[in-house]
Amino acid sequence: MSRVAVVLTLIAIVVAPLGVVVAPARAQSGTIEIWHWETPPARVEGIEQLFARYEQETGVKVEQVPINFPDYQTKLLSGMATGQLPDIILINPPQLPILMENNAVVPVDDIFQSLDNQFVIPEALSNPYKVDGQQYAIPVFGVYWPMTYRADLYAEAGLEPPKTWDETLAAAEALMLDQDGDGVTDVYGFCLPVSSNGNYGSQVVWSFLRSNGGDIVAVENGEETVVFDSPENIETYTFLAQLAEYSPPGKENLDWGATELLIKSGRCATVMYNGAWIRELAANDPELLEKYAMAPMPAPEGKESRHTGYPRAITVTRTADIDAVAAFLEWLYQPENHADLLNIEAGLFMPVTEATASSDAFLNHPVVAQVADLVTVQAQVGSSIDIIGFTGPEGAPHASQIESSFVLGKVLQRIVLEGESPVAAVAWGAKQYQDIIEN
Amino acid sequence: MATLECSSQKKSSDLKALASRLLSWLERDGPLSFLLTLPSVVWMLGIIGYPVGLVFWLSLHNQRSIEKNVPFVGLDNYAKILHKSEFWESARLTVIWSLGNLLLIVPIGIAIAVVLNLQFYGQRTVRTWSLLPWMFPIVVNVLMWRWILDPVAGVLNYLMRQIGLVDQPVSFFASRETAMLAVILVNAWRWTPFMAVVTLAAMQTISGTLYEAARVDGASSWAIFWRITFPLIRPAVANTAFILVIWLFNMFPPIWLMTQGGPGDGTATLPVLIYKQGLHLFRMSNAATISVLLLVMFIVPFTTIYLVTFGRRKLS
Repeated sequence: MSRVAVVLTLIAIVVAPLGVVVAPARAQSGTIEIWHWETPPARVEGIEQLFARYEQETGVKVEQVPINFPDYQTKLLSGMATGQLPDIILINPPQLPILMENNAVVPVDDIFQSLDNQFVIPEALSNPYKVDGQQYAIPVFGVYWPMTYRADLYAEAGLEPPKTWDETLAAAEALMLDQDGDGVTDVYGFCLPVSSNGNYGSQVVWSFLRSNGGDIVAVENGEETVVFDSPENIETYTFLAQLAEYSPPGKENLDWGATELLIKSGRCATVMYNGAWIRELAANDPELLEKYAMAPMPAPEGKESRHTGYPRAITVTRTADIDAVAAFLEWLYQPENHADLLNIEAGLFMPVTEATASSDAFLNHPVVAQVADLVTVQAQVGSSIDIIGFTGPEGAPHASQIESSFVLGKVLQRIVLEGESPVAAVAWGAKQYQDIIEN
Repeated sequence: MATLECSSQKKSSDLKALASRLLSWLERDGPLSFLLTLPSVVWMLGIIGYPVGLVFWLSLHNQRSIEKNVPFVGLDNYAKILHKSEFWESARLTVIWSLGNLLLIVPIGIAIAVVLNLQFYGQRTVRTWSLLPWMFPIVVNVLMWRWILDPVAGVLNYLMRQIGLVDQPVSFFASRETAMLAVILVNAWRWTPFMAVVTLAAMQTISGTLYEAARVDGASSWAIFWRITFPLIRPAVANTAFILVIWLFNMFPPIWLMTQGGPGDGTATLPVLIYKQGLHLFRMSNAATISVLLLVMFIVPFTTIYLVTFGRRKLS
């Protein structure tokens, strides 16, 4: 080796590690960064266009970082651990305790008050984000899960959409249809997920469980008590095990995507689902779209139907420029801008302010106008939603862990796939929840 | 004056000599190679030593997510985890998963290598195509198989119905046993080409004269394989199988992408359990404890057995 090479090598040894410690630059100043999980390309593009308009009007750049929902919590944790959080984070209520526990977000009472005064945000939607009298997040749009059904098939069979659980079972049985006579079922009576891969399976169980008056935990003075092992929940699971007989093969793997495909291919006579399929069906198969209708979820005789749903909200991080964020939100909640945000996924994103809900910009969007009945039902069930861990005046400190454990779906799997009795499976579920809140 | 000049020249030549000696010393194998490897060693300590150390540290503390000043709990986490049936069930599934894969990948990989080592028309094309499962990104592989195995829209169910094998769609993920079998088959499909390529490479180093001599002596193809080919490819096969076992014990993506550990926890091997404990339930210490146990219970003993066996063979 030549002497020059030796000297260069020594220099390289000293200099090389310096490259490693150069930290990546944080977002440019004067830019608002927002994390969200609305990753489908059409949504990302729509959000991009909306933010570009804000930049045109104000000169302030808003950058979005779409993150797949399954990776969202991991990203939040790593962001908090490294101090690399954005200015704004889109959340559901169960994510708030984690952000608060790690001192990552700030109260937004002033911003919320200003927006509420101008546009009126219903308390039912903002309360899950209120902790010790302080508002920590502002609802930005709602996503709700009513019952979706094939109105044409119900009409052909002379059936009304079910309101009770008995009617649901009867309708599901009647609507197992072999349309081409090849001996294989083409339409399934009720597409019930019996799954624990992802949150869909548990979210469907949750709606039935709440409609029967059941719950997972009760919270008093910050203390959680598991109330899962109840007669109501055992009754609910017994009913769901019966209903699962009318669900398609592969129900143990039914997640959001697979269920949406079943809906788009017209294979579900009845299903609990939000309006994520509406925009695409309006564009590609308006004829099939016409055949669908929505109604509140069925409930046991004499009980009120409850729904899975989330008022998705904006929370502001400790490092954000509060004034810049406040100005952006003032702009975003103006009904014409807010309606543009909702109409990025028309038929799915529901208004959370009275001003936007009644605005022409929202109501006159072609898809919203086309599916006005479906939007009305979704808006209606928005007033009877329940969020896991947020059924009482106090939020459960372990709400996020309870939700993401998918125990609700696993209990149903134990009953349907493994033949365990509802009593034993619910007792097993209660033990899992106890384990979660104790650790 | 002359003395001063002489002294100055002497100092200068001394310095040159010293510098020359220093460079010569650096150029000698020992110190220079030490200096050249130092950055790598520091780097490896940073990217491997630190995380491993952190995992051990976490397993001795009660860390939930990213909170600070977490309490030291000694070996409590180990006692707690070792008393959980969930852990032992996952450990059992990890063994089934790893052995199931190995039992498929190794023999099928060798068989494919034997075929690819034959001379036939289109051999190169076949060799290239046979590598495809291993070359595709794992997400593509798994999604493709999820579609194939789908009971409603999957081609496998369609074919089974067409040839009259079944009347109604079969759901491969409806039971723990069939779900585990499905993920093992899909993973084996992906990794078998890797085994085949390594084995094929080993086969191609075997001298053709050995085969010629065997044929002259009237040995059958079967005898040639077991008496010549297999003994000579055995080190490569064993090394690859060893690497595979280490990977399989730690493998997470195919199971997660295909079943997320379901149905129930029927395919939740230890890496899946670690992920769920850490990132679904925010029990980082539990996740770290299971990671250490995975290392201690499976990987360390297996590595030791391997090293002892192969070390002895090398010595002999």
